[in-house]
Amino acid sequence: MARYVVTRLVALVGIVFAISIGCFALVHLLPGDPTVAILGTSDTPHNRAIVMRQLGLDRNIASQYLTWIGNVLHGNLGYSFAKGQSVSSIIAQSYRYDLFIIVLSQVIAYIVAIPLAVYSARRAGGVLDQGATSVTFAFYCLPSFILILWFVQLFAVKWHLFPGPGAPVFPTGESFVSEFRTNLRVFLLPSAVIALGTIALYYRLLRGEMLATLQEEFITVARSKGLSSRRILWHHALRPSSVTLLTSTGNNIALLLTGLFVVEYKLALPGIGYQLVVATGQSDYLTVQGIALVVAVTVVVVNFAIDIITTLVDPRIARA
Amino acid sequence: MRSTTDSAIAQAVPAPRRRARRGFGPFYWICVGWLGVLALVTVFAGVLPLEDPTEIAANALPNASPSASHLLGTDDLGRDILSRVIHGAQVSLEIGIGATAIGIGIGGVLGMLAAYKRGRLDGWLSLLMYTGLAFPAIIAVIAILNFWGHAEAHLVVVLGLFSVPLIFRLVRAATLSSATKEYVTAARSQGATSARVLARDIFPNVAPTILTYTIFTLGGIIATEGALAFIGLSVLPPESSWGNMIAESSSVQPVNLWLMLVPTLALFFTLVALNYVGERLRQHFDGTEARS
Repeated sequence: MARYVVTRLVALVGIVFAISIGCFALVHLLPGDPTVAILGTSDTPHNRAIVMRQLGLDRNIASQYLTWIGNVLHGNLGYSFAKGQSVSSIIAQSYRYDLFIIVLSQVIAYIVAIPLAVYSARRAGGVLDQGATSVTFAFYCLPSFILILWFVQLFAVKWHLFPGPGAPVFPTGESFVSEFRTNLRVFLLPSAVIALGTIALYYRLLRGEMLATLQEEFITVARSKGLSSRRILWHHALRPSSVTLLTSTGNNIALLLTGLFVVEYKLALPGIGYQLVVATGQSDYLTVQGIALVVAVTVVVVNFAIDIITTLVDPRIARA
Repeated sequence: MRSTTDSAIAQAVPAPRRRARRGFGPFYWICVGWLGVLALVTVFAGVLPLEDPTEIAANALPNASPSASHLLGTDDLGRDILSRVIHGAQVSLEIGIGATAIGIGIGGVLGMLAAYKRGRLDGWLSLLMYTGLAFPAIIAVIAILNFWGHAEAHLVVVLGLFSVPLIFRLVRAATLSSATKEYVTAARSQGATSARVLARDIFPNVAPTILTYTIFTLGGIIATEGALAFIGLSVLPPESSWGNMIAESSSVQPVNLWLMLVPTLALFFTLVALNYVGERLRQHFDGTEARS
């Protein structure tokens, strides 16, 4: 187990290094010039040369990368001229929104998808199974940008069940939990939209795994011992079936970190995705770069964590 | 281990398997039919007796209900909705098929090569692709489209290239399992060239995987194009795409739900059709593999 963790850690460092080059390259290979946005009307060759030197853009690309990565390691992602604040503070402010939505949506998705999949698998082809499979398949085919529009239109505008787009989020300045509680209503709508797509995904995976597990010999043994159907489903079958679910939770959270942009854009909720769309629109290179880096690293770390959790659930994986 | 799950289900659960032997079922053919209609309408959009999707006629009635002259009614500017949806289908399919072709072309060929040749080529390609997979593609897509401009051709290239890593990984895995089989060793020991082995022995075995992932990729790219159009990063109004029709319809006050419903359903039906057809084909191929 310790060896497994160490090899995974080494791979993690390698991938993070490769990603940092990718983020750096993304912004430096793109056409356009950050000095244009900074200089505005005072764009003369002389002023431009000064700004280029200040930003270090007159040096060669390798030394620019080294300076940048050095700063990044000290937590300095640069300064956003468009926003007038440091990139790290922009990211720190907006990341919380994504965390709220992701946590809430994943909790909802687990609460709905797991029992649904377990009981569907109990009687494959039964009424519950067919109904749940069809309904979740429909939601699987509805992209979040369509769902959020209809949800806003129906639940917020028409029936006033939720606050609509642009609803203010109140920073309480206190702990994460208290802010979460204060603004729960604002986050419910986007979380529900995300949860619906996620439920469809998790349900499909877990149902398939459960069906396969229920054919295994240890289930037959448990049955022949006379254990109750409930105990077999929840204690014997669910655990070995949940490995795929865990892996895909990691992938899904990774996708959501960027995939939330549509929902945030529609609701004008200033999360990471929203900031990204705004920053690209303003040619705010450093913010785009910072967001890309932070998101990519989060993705890698989340996947690492999921890998470790997976081996705890199913120790056979680390030995393979 | 887990990739065999579905064939395990096919063996274990009698009912669906019997159905699979009889055929694909009516819903499969409905889905195929929808995709066929979509393809025909897209190809013949110029020939069909449709109004100009962007033209605002002087005497046009805005928000008209469906009638003989406008089968799906008109939008808030009096443009024919049917014509705009069909033009949107054209945009979605062109971008979807173009990008999928790039993704499958590059990812498929490289994946097969990497798995067949192994060694250093495989090592470097896999490293590159796994980094690409960890990198949040949509950020790069949004940034590139914003800075490069979002013409249709740009979307095709960018979405195509960013779908390569996943396809590479899937095709490589499928090829690996085929490249280690006895018939490949037999062909090579008889002196068959690499190109021949790849084309005659390996490709037929990987083709089902490639086909199903082509269909899934197409669906994924059409959905992504919709989301990009929604934030204004696909073809621009007055040109229509499903995504920007949906975005436009929701920004007009008061919102005309009918206007929002038509492109929503078009996109929804298309994604259902693609995902269902892909899923049934995958089950079908898994079943035949399990039998042989």
